[in-house]
Amino acid sequence: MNTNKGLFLAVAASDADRQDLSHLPLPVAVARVEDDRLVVALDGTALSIAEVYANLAGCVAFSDRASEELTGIATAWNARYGTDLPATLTLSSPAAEASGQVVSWVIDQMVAQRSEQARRNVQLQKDLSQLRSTHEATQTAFQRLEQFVYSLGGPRRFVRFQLEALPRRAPLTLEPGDRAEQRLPCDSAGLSDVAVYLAEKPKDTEGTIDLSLELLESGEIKGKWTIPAKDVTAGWLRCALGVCLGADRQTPVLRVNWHGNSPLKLSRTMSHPDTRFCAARNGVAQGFTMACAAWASVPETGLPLPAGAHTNETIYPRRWVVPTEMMSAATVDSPDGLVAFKEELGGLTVTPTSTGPCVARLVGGGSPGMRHLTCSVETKSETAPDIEYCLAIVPTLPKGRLMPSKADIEASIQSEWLRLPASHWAELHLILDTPIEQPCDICVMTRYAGETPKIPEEPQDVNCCFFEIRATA
Amino acid sequence: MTHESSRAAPRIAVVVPIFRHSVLLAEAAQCIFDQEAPFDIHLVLINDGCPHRETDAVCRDLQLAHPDSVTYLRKPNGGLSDARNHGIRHVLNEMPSVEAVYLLDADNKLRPHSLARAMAVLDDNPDVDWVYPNIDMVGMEFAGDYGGDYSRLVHTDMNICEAGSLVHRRVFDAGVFFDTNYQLGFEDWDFFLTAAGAGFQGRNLEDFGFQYRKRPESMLANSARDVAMIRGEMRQKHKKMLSPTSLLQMEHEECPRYAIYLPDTQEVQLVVDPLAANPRTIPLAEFEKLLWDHKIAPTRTHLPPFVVVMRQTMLDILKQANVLQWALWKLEGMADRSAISTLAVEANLDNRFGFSEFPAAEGRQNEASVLVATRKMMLEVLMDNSTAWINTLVIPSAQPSVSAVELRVPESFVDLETAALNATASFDFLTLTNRMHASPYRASAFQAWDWRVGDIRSRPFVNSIVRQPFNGAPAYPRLPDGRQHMGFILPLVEFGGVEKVALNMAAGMKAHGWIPHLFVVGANEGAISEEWCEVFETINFLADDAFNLWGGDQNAYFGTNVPDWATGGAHGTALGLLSWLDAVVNFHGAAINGVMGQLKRFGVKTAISLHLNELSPYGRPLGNTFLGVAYEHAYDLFVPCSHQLGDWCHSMGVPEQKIVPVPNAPSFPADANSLADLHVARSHRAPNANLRVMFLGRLDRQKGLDRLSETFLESARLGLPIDWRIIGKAVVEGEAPPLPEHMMEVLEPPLHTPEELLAAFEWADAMVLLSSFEGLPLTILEAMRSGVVPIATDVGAVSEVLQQDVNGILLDLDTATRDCVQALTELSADRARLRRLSDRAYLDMVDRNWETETEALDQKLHDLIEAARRKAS
Repeated sequence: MNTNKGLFLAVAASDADRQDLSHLPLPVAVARVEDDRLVVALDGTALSIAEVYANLAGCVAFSDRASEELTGIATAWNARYGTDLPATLTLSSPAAEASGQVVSWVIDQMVAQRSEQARRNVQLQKDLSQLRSTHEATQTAFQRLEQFVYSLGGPRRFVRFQLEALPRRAPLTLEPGDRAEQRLPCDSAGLSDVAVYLAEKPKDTEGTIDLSLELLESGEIKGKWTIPAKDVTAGWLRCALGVCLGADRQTPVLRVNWHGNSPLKLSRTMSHPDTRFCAARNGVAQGFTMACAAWASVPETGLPLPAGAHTNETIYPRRWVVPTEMMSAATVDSPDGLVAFKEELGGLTVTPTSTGPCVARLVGGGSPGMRHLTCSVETKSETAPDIEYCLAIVPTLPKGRLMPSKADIEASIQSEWLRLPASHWAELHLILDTPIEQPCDICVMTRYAGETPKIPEEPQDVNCCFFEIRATA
Repeated sequence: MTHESSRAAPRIAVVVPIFRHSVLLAEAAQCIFDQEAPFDIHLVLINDGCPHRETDAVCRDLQLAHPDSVTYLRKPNGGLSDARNHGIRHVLNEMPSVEAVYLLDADNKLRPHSLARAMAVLDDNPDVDWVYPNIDMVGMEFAGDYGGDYSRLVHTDMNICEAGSLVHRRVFDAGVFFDTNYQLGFEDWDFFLTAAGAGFQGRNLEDFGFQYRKRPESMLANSARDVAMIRGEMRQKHKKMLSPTSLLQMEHEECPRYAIYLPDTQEVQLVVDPLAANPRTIPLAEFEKLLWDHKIAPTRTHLPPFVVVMRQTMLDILKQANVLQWALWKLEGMADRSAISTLAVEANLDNRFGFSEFPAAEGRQNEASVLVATRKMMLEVLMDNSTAWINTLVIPSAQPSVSAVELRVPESFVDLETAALNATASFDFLTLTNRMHASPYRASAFQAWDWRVGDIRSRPFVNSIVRQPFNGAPAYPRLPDGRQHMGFILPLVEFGGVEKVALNMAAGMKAHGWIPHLFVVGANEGAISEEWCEVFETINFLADDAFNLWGGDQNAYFGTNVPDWATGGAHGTALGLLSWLDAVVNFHGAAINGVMGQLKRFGVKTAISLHLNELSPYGRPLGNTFLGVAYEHAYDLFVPCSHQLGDWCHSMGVPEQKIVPVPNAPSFPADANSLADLHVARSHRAPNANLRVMFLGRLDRQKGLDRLSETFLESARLGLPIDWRIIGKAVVEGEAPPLPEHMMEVLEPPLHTPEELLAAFEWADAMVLLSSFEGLPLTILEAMRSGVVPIATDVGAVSEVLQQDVNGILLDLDTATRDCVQALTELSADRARLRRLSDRAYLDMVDRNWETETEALDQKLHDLIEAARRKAS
């Protein structure tokens, strides 16, 4: 359907048989009105309405009669196209000069069109530059907003949804080479992390788990993670994006491909009657939803990675933050300590009840690449004695052991014990000689200051708080 | 006509009408160029006379830059519909390879895979004619989900297909285009509705990837203000599709009203009409899934609004009793008010047929054979943490609001013992509820799943669309089945002549192929015998407390009260009950005249059966005849019981062509050979035996009780050799004068069976009927058939069958008593004359039957229906 056959001129029927038409510089079509309809034919073949409108350069009249006919043709043209007939050139000169006149006339029109095009181009360039300026201003403003948000502690990845695992239900088992797919019950705007729940650690530690996050409507893959099976444990397998997805809302779908020699078991959650929201194994809906979770934040912002999450991309500057969920799940060493995440204080309280240190362990809190860990601390109490705070990195414990031993602690890499009076805020720093190489745990510890500290009568009122554990490379 | 030669053969053409979107157009065009598809796509730009030069310049540039894939058309301004049509027609004429047309507005966009995905749906589903998207808005942020099965019924109530749909070429080839009369918006709604009406159907594609630019003051925002006017225009244009019958058919096919749980088979039928062929039946497990799927996404998944619990056995029993559809209709109406309604079946030892209604069941639900619960109530129960509340249904202090119907039928009608054994509906309902509550899907109902907002807002209420023609009242659940159905409307069913005429006319019409249905509008029970059940396929009661046959005195038509209900009542219930019929005949239903005009507009052929002009105590004619004439415009036909009454109707202004007399015939069957034998035997009676004289009928003022009494006394005083029999009882109690003692002594109870009646006629030589006013009395015809000589007052249409001294004796009303005594004296003395009159009376009735008498009515109705069908096509 190429309508660009090139420009042509049109004459009225009464001029159609003139010999001198062949001298004109453009092909000449004949225009007439038949039953009130405009018909334009070139070399005897009627042209389509699109071709005529696109390529008619103008009309030429060699006589008064032809001019009259063209008046009627102009009416028919207007009825068909709702606009005026292109310019008409009336020739009365001898044939030899007609060609030159037509050329001049066509050139004049083209010059006018060229000028109009140039004007449009200039306007478009102006629009583009304004759009660019607006975009740059938006970028700058957004950067300032980011800086402001960071100065307040930084944006967080907040839980968008979490569909809990039902451990007593048979999991979704992927055999080697299988794939699973789960539509997420949210839109994609600002999505930052996704997670599935492993019912158990895969037996084949040589295998790899490939996860991808796809947007259904555009078909784009927005996140890909390849995780060695040896790096995963039973529980949530969290995969993080360095930059949150954009504001364009689409439907996210999570895909898991398992490459290993033993089954991979993904925990399930509730049954669902709609197959769209059921996990699919190799394309077959299973009747239930996979246990999964997602986090989100401000669209298109770069955030510190959550400690313990997997990422396949390196975003500079490299930053981490220990997620609130990890602090809420901190394990405690002994009955002589009180450990709890208190929402109202916004921090993890690790309060000793004896002279020994109270140790809380954040499983998986240490991610490879971390080098400088910081943590805000404060004793939220008016009357508490001085408390000493410490931050440590310990290797991941073998299965079955909940807490590091005293020897493990003594052998760990620790910060200095920082002594704080009550209601004073300070920052703990732990700077490592070399970045962490393997996933490990973070321990936060407290003890009463002094050689013979006085243990308060109501130690539960002494809230030794650890806030916001962050790290940089 | 030329074909634009092309190296490419596009499968899809994208038609973009443009008016005043000169800048955004480039973005729309670019998204087409960005389409990733395994086939060519051609863009057709239609400049609809846009006054902005920029539009022309942009379009020309696009065409010049993409000569192989862009066509630019310009036209005078004609509106959006006209521009689309212009582009579509150009595609059809010039691009034979194009299989589908995508309609893209110049300010909207598509994602790169949109057209490939949509085309794949058309390719994979030959029964799909267009693919429509969800609507993800840009600008004013909103994302609407239009998923779920396509439903024409929903589509009649709201627009579910955005114009940004991919439409198969065959839709346009069939002549479906945009209506250029729609200038204010909703042109796409009309287009798709027209396509649906032509038999095409669409499908939603969830991940279509369509992006709609929504601005506060767009054309659509404008049209929202005119929506009432546009809806009215569309209702008129799509009248056939929006007719009650059409809506009901769509409801049955797409959004069935009832989920009938059959505990004995553990299946659920999803139906409107349980007697329709091939009801959709699913296992209980599938219903469980459907229920929770609806709860989670009510705008995507349809769940019937009424859950019906009854055993298959009970369904069969109700069908056998001719009340299945009526029972569902009735229970549905009650459930609207009480959320749970129940029905129990009991024996009626008086051989009567009827029901009682109890707004508060008060324990009756424990004996129920059928239970109807609203979906709304059931879902509320299922979302409760405990089923304790609903489990009180079957204890004395039941907490749910339950209403009840007791249906009483004669013992011989149905197997009542089996019915009693199946009176477990309430318990079965609790079993169902508890099972649904324990469903593994229940947990998923407490979680949000879809990020889009379910925007087919009509789907959860789709069944109310079917009720709209009836002002929200339930629609009778009966589908067309290819047969012709006629409703017979009676105020009550007792032993009156009007009822007998109705029964026999129905039998006559049945012989002509009609399917009769009985509708009792003024009573909740009646003397509906097995004979009635054999003639009428269904038995129905209006059961509307607000209905009053003759109540009110606000209006009168030439002295006859026009009932208040007729002029100002709520007609929805009656309309919902009757609108599905092909024809109705009103047998003196008084107030029911008020719905005839509306029924006629629904396409029901309406007829009024008239029997007699009643007289006021002062002798002024009044009654159903005058009421019928008052509603003449609402009737297609007037069906008087005699030619004389037909003449009266004509004289009162009813056009001749509307009058189809159906003269009365004997009201009960009799074997012709037996009658002949009996008539021969009659001739052998002893000539000197006493004259046997009988009265048979109601003993009231109309029947001339006073004259009868005087005749009786005078004949005794004169010592006439007459044996009398007085047979009957007062039916209309208030109008019956006290029966004289001398007649009480000889009074016999009414006779009901044909055998009893024939025996009485066989005994009699003559029958007296000294009525003050009559129509065409059935007893005269029945007497004549048996060779009994009628002696009757010349009132009503009596003289249409009786000819003086030819086949009977006519008496002047003013001198009836004297003349009757004289006639009896003469007949007693002149047995030859008696014989002559008897023979002629017998012969005159030989070929008189209801099948013959209803032939003209049958033909007339068929003519009317055929004329209507031709007009519609």
